[in-house]
Amino acid sequence: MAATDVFVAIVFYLVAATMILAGASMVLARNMVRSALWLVLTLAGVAVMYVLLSADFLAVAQILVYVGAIMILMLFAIMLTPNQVDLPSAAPQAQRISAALTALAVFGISVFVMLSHRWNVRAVPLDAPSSERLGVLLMSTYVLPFEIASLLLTAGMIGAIVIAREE
Amino acid sequence: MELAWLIPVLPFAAFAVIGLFLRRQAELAGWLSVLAIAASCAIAWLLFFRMLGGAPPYEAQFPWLALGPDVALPFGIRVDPLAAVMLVVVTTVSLLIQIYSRGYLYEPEEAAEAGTGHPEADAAHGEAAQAHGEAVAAQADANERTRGAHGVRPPSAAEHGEHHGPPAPLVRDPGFGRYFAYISLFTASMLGLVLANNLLTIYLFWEGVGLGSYLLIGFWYTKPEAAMAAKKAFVTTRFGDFGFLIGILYLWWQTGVLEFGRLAELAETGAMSETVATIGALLLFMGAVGKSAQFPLHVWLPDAMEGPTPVSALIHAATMVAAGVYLVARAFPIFEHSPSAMLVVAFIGGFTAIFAASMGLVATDIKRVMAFSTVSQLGYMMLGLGAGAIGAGMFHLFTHAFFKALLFLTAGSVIFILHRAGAHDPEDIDPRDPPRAQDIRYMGGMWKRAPITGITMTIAALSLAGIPPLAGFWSKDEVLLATYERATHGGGAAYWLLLLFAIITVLLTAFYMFRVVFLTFAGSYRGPADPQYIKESPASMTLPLLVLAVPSVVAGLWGAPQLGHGFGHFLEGADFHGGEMNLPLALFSTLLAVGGIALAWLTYKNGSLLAMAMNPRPSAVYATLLNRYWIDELYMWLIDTFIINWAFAIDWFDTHVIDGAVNGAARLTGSIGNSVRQVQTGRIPAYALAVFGGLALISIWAIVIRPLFS
Amino acid sequence: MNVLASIPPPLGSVLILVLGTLVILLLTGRLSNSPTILATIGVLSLLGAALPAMGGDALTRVSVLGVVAAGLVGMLLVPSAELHNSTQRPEVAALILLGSTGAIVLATAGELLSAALGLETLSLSAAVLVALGRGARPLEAAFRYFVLAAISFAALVYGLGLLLLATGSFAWPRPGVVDPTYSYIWTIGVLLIGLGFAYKLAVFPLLWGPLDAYTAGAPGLAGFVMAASKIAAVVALARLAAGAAVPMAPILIGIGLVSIIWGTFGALAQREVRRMLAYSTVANAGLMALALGCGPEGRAAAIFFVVIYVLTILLAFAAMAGRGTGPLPFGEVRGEGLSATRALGLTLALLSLAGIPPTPGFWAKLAILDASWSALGFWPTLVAVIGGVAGVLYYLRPLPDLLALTRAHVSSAPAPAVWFAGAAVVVLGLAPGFAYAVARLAIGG
Repeated sequence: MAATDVFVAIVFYLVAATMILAGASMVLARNMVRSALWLVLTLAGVAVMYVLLSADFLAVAQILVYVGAIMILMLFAIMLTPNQVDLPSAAPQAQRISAALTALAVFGISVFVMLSHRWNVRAVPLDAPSSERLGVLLMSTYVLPFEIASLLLTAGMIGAIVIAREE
Repeated sequence: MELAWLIPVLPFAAFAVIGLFLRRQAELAGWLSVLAIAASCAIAWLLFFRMLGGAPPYEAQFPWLALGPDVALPFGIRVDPLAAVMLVVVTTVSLLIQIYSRGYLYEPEEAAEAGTGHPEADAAHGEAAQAHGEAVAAQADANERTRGAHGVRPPSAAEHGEHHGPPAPLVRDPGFGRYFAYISLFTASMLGLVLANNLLTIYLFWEGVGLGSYLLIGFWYTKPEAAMAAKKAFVTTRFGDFGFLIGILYLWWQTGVLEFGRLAELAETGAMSETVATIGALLLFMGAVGKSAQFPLHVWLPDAMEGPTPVSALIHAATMVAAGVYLVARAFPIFEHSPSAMLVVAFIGGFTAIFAASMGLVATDIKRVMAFSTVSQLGYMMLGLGAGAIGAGMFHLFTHAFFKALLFLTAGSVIFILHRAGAHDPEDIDPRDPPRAQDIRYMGGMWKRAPITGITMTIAALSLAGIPPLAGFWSKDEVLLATYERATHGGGAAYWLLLLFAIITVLLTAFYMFRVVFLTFAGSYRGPADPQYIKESPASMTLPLLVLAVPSVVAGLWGAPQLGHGFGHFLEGADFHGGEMNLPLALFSTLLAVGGIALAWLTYKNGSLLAMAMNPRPSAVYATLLNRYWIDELYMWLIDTFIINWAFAIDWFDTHVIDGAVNGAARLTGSIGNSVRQVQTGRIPAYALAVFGGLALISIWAIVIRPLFS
Repeated sequence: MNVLASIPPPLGSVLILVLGTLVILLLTGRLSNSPTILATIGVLSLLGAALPAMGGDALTRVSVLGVVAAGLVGMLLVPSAELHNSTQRPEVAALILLGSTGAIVLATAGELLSAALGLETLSLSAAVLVALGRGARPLEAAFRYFVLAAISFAALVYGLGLLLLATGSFAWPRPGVVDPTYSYIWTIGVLLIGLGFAYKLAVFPLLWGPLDAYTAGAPGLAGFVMAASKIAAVVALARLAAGAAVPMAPILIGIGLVSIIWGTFGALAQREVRRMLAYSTVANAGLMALALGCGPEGRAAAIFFVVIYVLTILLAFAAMAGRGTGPLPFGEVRGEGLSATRALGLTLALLSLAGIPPTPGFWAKLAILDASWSALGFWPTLVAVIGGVAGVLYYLRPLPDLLALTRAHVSSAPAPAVWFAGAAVVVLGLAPGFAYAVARLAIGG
């Protein structure tokens, strides 16, 4: 095993553990700002995972979009809603239990599917910048979805403007 | 023959024109409706005489919806003797009833101003009596003391001087145009039903008829009882229709055909197995049970009397309720193919006959007595069919249509007369009691004042009771004879029991019918109206009575054995094998009928046993009959327990568990501070939980459980 | 000319709709004061969008025409829509066009990625359309609808990822192309995609968001949202079920049966027309889901059903439009300002929904029952029949009040949307054969 592999493995497990911890803390935190910050950590972990997978473009996009834009939006939303920063107490007992059960079931299914699957492992690690290929794909094979996405954004934009605009 | 399609189309066109253009031109609407049905009636009679002259059956159809290259749902009509008889009955009765309605749908002026519609519709009428409610009650005690010798005599408002001066003049019901639109729609559907040559087409019109009846019963929809009754009628018959629809689909899926002719072929040649015939026949019969108000779905018909009386005469006597019987007759070969189905039909019919007659004994609402009588007579028809005699059942349907329509119309005439004379309800009327103008305990002495109504009702009652040689005698005798034949020719003990039921019913029928006649016409007037204003109805109402009286007398002769069984030969052609009259049986049933009439006379000639009918604490048997064996209550309980509670449980779950009960408050604040549009999120976690929980369950099923079994 | 001819038919429709949207958005300022011109531009775009679709296959024709019908009714009602802020009519019109575009893309897309994006476009437009209704309730309902749409869309995207992992492409699933080693991943992927589509159909357990949106939004816009979603969802689910019958068919049947029962009981408890209609939608969605699980015949029946259902529901909502976003209690229908035309339109719609022949609703139910019987036999069909028959228990409750036309009604503006939808319903009832034939062609049977 090459030294890089060991390094990658160490980073992976460290980051994975951090993500699990951060995810759990996010759910358990009583303060919404803290919750949001824990989420930042989790999402940043995902970006690291992308780096480990040599998906450079995705990693950058992850940080820009999620860690940057969406998190800022969330924090603003929390700050602008007074009296909602501290969650009074978690959901009612019945809901907590059923939520836990559902989460457990979904987790179980995911694990089952992953374990039952024979994963194909690439012989040589992918080691080329992916942004160029992504760009080419978006402009060739996926040009139609790409254009339709612009419609989606238009609809979203109109919606945001009309709902926010005061008469 | 090619004109047959015009018969339902003309009334339908009248419906469309009235509905779209003439809603407010009441006079014109009435005439148009009458004109359309008159034309249909003429064509129907033309076809009838052609058929009588030996014309072959006429059938025409076209595919409506192709469900595959070789599967098509047809729409078609068929004119044969069976349809021809029904066409004549329906168009004639409908024509007379529409003429009658033009006179009937008027009301005293003050009720019209109050906007409540016809006084029959007006549950809370009696404005004049209200002011004097206490005085009336006090006077009631006095009356009881002074008139003890004659039994209880209800107080008459007129005696207290409340109705000096003539009653208010009559004005037209505000729903006049709407009424004729509905009745045209109903008649068109009924005629289409009669003409249908296949199950799908008959179902189409079957639903149309149900809808028409719903609208007509609920004609005075502002009155809660009418709205409830309309709903009850629709829902109850719908329960039967549900079986009917499944039956249609079942027969279609099993045999691939829908036409009555081809189904009959399959049944007669044995290509259809007996099991299929039994299941199919019983499912179809469910529809018939609902429409013809047979036990256990009879509960809607008495309540349906909340509609205008001509409607009761048309729908709930002569036509729609007969549709069930007609359906069984139409699909008769399928029923005949299955002895068990026949037994069920006979048993439901026979039991309904005696069961409904028993409830008719105690009802005090003149229309409800007629309703129970109708249920009972429909039972007779079913019994005749179930005994294997399609001729007997249809013959009774044929004669019954005339004399029962006549009975309803005379009852309507009585109600009309009493209303016009100002028979208001007292303020403290027991809500379980019928309105005074419909309560036979508060009638009497109308013989001299309304002679045409009186004579025609007596004729109809005699006919219904089965007094020879009136129409009812011949047809009822056919039913009894058919049951007897069946019992003696391999029918077994069940048919003997049914014969017993039928014979007892003869006695009961004569008794309750003449109870009504004597209480209404004999003695002196006991109600709240001023007797001097009680006088005969207008000519537009009495004329149809007189016309209907003719077939009520003579229609039976067409099927009389002594005169050659004309009806049976016409209906069944070569298949007919009617026997001779069984003289002892006929004599016995006649004696029973006469006995019933005599018993009624002895009981009610001067109201001596009236006391019992007014007893606040009646005997257990009496109470059971009066409460219709508590079957309505049982059904309500079942519906509450198994449907309503579930419905509200789901509604509660969605509004409280999923939406969160706090929404109401949020909405309130939101509507106050509209500039700050508050958002209440509901319980999005609960939604999400339901979604992901469902997903998890489905996934577990798809990847774990299902592979285990495949 | 060559370039134009080479554009596939649905894409042509999409381009025309986008063009219409652009025109409206560019002229927002002018159009906000002239709703008639606005509606005319919208109607013309929609009619134009229908033209290229006529050259397409049956599936394209059914989907585009259905969506265009929904859009037309919505557009005709824009001038009278009950908006929170009436200067926003141009945006509403633009969103109707964008929503129609999304629905068309969802139904006709060549691969799943476009379909997903179409679905989200439709969802977003729908949520905003509901939110713009007058009063506080629409915004609240729209928010809920939007969040749940987002959840189901996330599930769909996750499913897309799994499917890509399993098959290496975003193509619609086809039987027999999956590497067996990927079968679980493929199965879960298909299920998640199905969940995303099913949200638009509003079956159990995805019903609560749509339920609120249909109840609270301005009637005309809610009708559009409902109709466009249903038709696109049924076509998309039919394509999914055709390609992945193994996990999908039994699940659709099960979900369908539960939805029928849930929707029927839920509707029985209601006391006002709009929420009753919303609940009955769940029961009807259940019927469609059931049919979608019944093989090619069932899928044809489902498409036949949805075409008829969509037109009927459009008629109902068009009839209720223009009188506010509030509830419409059964006993007070008459007093709620429905003109005679609207009352008759609503009556026709209710009769059709109840499945009273010869209204088209009867044929639609019959087709589904037939398919269910041949594919599943007695018991599931019995549930479907009961659900169908129980419909009259709630659909017909407002009828006597509605039909009492003698009373004076608050007169309202002429109702072209009611006439349009009403005529479509009448024609479909009298001549259902053509629609059924097209539905059969659409599923390739």
